[in-house]
Amino acid sequence: MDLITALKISASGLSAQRTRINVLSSNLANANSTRSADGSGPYQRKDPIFREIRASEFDSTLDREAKKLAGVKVDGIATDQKPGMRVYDPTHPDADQDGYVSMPNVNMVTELTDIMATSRAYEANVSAMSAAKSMINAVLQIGKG
Amino acid sequence: MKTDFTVDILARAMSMRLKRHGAIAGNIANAETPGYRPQQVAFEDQLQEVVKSGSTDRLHNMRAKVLTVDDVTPRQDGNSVDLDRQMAGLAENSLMYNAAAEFMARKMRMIKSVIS
Repeated sequence: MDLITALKISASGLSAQRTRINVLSSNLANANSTRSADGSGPYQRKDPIFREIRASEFDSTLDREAKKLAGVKVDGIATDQKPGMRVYDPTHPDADQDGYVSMPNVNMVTELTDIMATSRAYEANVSAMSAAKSMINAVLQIGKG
Repeated sequence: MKTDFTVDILARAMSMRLKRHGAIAGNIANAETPGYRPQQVAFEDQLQEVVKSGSTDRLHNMRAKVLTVDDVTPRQDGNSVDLDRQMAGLAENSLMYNAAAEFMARKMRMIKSVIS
């Protein structure tokens, strides 16, 4: 365990939160997409899955305690299978025989609150990283002048 | 060469604080990870005992304890990190680390002025 490990742990948090904000933005952008990329019905919202990883995965020192410290990574991106709303719009090109269009299962409010939570989590990781940086600077002052 | 006991203690305290910083950084990074439970590094009581005993051997054999302690009752996804508590711990820990580094720097300046 050294200060660089601390920076790497915080960096893993930053990267995970950034992925999450990308996924959430893509959900928001596709809130009205009635066609998905693979052509199978409307867009379905995506959710990143976070997984804890051991700090020893990026720190090879034989420090027993460091093995217990944790970073984070995005383990995968899951598709939300919940059905979306069906809207009556017979003139829509994707309407079925009864005139209903299947809309994406994206809820703007959920996505926006998730984006806010993500941005707070990102800031928290930035604070942890700045703290580590100030610690490195403090240590470099020892033995100076 | 016999080193100053104060320097030894400060060095040990800093390495424990560093470990604690790693644990807190991990807790913050995993604030949204399902099933994650926060890690805590405990060393103050041990360090205090070692300082009282004045034994360098005991100081060198001292190890910080890494414990898993829930901040709050686990949420529905099994995560029990309280971000506010972690941020407070982070601020406190880095302040104390910087303070120890400052003391160490002053100690070194004293030694230097004695030598020259």
